[in-house]
Amino acid sequence: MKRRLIVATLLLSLLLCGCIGCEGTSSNAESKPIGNGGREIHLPGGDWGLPTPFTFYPRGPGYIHLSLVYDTLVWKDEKDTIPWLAKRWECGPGALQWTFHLRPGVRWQDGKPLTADDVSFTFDYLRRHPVEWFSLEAIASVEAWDDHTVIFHLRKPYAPFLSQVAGNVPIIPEHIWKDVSDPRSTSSLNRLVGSGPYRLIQYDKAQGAYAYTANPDFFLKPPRIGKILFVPTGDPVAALERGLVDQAAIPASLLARFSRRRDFSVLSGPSFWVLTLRFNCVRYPFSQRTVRQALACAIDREALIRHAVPGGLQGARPGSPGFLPPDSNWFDPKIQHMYPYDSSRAESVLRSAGIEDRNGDHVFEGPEGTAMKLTLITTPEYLREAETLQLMLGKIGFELQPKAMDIKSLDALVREGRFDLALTGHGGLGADPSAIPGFGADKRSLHFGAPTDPAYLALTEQLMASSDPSQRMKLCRKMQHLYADELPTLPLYYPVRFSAHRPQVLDGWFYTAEGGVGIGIPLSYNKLVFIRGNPP
Amino acid sequence: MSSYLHRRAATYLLVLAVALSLNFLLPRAIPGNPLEDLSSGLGNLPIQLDCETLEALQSYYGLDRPLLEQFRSYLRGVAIGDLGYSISYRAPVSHLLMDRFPWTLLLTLGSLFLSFSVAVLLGSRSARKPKGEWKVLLPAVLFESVPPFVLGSLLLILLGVKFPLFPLSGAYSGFSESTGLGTVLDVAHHAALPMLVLSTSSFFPAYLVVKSSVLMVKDEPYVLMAEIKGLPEKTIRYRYVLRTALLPVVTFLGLRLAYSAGGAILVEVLFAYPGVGRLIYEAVLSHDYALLQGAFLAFTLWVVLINFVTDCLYASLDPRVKEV
Amino acid sequence: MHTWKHMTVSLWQQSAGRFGLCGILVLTGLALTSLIWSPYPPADISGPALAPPDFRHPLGTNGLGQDILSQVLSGCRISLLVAVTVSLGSVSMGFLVGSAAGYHPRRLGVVLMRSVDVLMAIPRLPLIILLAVFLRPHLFNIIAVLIFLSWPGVARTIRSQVLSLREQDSIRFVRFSGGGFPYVLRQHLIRELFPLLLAKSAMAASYAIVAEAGLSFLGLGDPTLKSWGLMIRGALDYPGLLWSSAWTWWLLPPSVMVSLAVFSFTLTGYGLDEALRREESD
Repeated sequence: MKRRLIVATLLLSLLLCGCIGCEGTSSNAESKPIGNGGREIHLPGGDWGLPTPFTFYPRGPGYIHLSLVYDTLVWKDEKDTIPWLAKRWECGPGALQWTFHLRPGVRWQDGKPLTADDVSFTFDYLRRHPVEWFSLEAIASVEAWDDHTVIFHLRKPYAPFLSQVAGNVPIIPEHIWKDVSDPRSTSSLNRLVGSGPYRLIQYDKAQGAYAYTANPDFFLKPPRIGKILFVPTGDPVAALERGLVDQAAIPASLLARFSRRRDFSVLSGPSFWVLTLRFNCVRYPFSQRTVRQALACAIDREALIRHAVPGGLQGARPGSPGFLPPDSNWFDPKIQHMYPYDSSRAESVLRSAGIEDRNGDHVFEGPEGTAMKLTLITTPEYLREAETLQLMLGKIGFELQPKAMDIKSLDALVREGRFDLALTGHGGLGADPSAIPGFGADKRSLHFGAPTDPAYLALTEQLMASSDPSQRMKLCRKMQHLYADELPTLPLYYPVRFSAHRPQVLDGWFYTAEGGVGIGIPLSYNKLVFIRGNPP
Repeated sequence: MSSYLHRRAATYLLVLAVALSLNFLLPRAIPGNPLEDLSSGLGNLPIQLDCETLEALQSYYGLDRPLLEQFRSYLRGVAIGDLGYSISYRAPVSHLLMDRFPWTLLLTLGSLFLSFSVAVLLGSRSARKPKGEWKVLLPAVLFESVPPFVLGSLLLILLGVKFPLFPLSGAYSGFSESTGLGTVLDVAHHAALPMLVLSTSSFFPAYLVVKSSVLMVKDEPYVLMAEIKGLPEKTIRYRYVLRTALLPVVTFLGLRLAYSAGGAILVEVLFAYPGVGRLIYEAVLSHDYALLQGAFLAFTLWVVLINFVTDCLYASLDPRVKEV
Repeated sequence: MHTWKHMTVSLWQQSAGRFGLCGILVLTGLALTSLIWSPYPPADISGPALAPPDFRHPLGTNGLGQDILSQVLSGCRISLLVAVTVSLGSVSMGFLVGSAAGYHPRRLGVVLMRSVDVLMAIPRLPLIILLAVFLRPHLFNIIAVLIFLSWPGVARTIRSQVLSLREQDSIRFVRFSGGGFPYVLRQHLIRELFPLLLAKSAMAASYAIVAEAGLSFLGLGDPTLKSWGLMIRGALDYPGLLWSSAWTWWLLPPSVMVSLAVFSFTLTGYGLDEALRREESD
């Protein structure tokens, strides 16, 4: 009797929960999927916002979802910038005018034609309702010359216009948005009309699930993948193993496990993210450039990676003192070996700066006798790197004390200049070099430790303004040399991204050229993958 | 309404006032601009806030107006249900809370139902037969001692990874074509592990309350009278003892209901369950102050409401309270 | 029942109290030894990452290469520190406020009890999270917040006890002869309420350990101290850990330890409750 009662109670409670729960599910299903033809792919989900330009989350793969529904003027594939909504373009005199010739016959997903008016409306609307992902300050006005020609008039020469604006801003239909006064309050799917290869048919915000179906009238060709489902998963690796998804990012530590299996293929690509050793250039001893350069020679970056990064030299590539990673098109290979690991050279440079062991305690002292006992602040995830640096620099007489703290405190200390050395990392290295944080003329570059030398700053301004590719390359190389000379930070390594997928569902994944999707998202979710389907 | 209820209501209003003031003062008390905090931070792809967006946010928060005026507009907003706009979710905070709340409710109610049913059964049994009590007590205390996220992670590994019997996350499978009973079972399947974990933490106190309450009632003279009269044991056990003993248990249930929503936070985070608890955690991660405060206010409101209802119930059922 | 010896003896007499006391002794022993000796400094990278247990690392190493045994010992120290400080702080504060409220039930008592009611009505974990976000995550802040949230419960119980004690003949005589509140507090209340305070301390300690572990698990704890909650978080955060066998030596030891710690304190608290009840019924 007792046992039956217990079992009945348990069953009843489970059923009760189910009843309450199914209310939640039914309130989220917006519409039934249209048709069931074509191939289907399951990808790891997550809530990144409703894919309109005003409601997507400006982080992670938020923009990826936006790119499935909306199109930009130009796009990128694995090699280059390619025509997209615009079939060709010209840069006018003085780089103050850009003209785009739109592809004829492009239609919105509701059948209406896409014209230059939609393009000029988009930029006008974005000016009235700014979104931080799209920086439109350089644009003075946008003019629809005729039905298929758009002219942009810039305020000043802006070289990264193609990548930061034309390849980034999604074109929205005027007939849908012109009467919308509060775009951020959008929550229904009816407004989601784009020109892109997919339509969103289901969005579950709470669980982070999206369902897209292919747009058969897409201007390029009907996409080969008929349905893309972003399913909510806890751990993407678990989901991959259990067959819930067909592709996922995997950590370097599990690389061996997946490359051994025949039903999986593994792909690697650059993350355009860097871990740097930040010097406090205002405080002694790192106010002296030679000291910084000496330390660069004392740190064996390959050994650091082997020791501290899971996956060793497969998991990350050694840092370049010119800041830009080897995967970048702008990288200058001559700089990579500017500071080879050579502890004797480091010691002699330090000696010429007046820093050596004066009292035989194996710790160097400066000319006034100040001992080289310094703190290295970091977040707990990079403790292993910090400890390795401690070992390496200890060999040349610098006694480092690693200190772990939370990111906010570290940020505050760095901002106030109350540190000696800091281990920090940031991304965005795939953008146009004039806009890379920590390297280009980006507003926050100083925050990330870009050089303050006026010559360098002048170069960044020139890079932003010039549009001649060979001149830009020369400027960029000069900047990297100056950076390597100044060395405000020493880039330690660039992590590598890995992903695994089931080739029989979809093969042909690639990492987008020139820094990643859009303005530099280092993911392999370029819509071309879904459009092309499996390679023949 | 008795003076007792009046006093309780006054207390709860005070609680809400404190919570609102806390919400308002905390972000303004710390040094530094909260907006700066949103855009700064050495981390991933940084998006710079250009002048226009910064100005828009500045005027939204009204940081340039005097403090009292800010407070007044904040209160006005809360009164009409405007809890602000979530920067990280791009949606009004109140909408997010409404969306997620049913799931937390599901977990809370389900786990309380589970733990209290079992507690009533075992508690009344222990009151009758105190000898074998340690058989129940030891595992109960053991399970209560294991923090919910520890128990949850172990269950996750055993029943989610090693033997994939249960899903690892979520409240239901995305895009399932099933309807009706299929959906119910799916939701139950997803809710099983989190509910189990939550119920272990409320089982032991419930068990203790039931046991002591039954013990007290057992010694009442009318029970003895019923036994002398020769009524069947089952009738005595259920109609005389249990029904009377359940009164303090019900009020205890009310209290647990009030506070268990907060306790669900850890479980929801572990199982990636889309409830309000997980929302508050995500708000912490992304420094989304509006969402954080909205969720905190929601929890407080919930506690106050349930507490007040419990107090009313208690006052109407227990005549002694009315005189105090 | 009013001396330490009396308490320990009656506690020992029941199995619950016995286990609890043993557990606390073991933990204290571990914590104290960790102060003097530990295989490696807990933050030191002493070996390869995710190494299985062997002679040099009896519990293996974690994803950074730190020795797990040393971290478990350090976590023991931190948890006990948190448990002791929070229970001492909250019980003392609760005792003072509760006695004052019970002894002066008219005006002061009303004000104090109203504030206790308000504090108790605010949901604990959401408030801790809210405070933790705005304050820097130092251990000191965490202890302060936990004390702040635990004392109202103690105060309420103490107050009801003091209310009834106040009417006892011995106390009424003291009041009549002009003894002030501090005198009554020192000479009478402490002695009378001592066993109750001890029981409350045990429960406060067990809550403190759970709360601190929970906070570290959510990432709001002190990131520089190797506490058990942080170890669990680190293990669960490490990508793909659940698929290697490393979870058995990285995730299990801190989980087991934190459960044991809470278990010991809870049992002790329960044992003290039982002893109290038995004493009252005698």
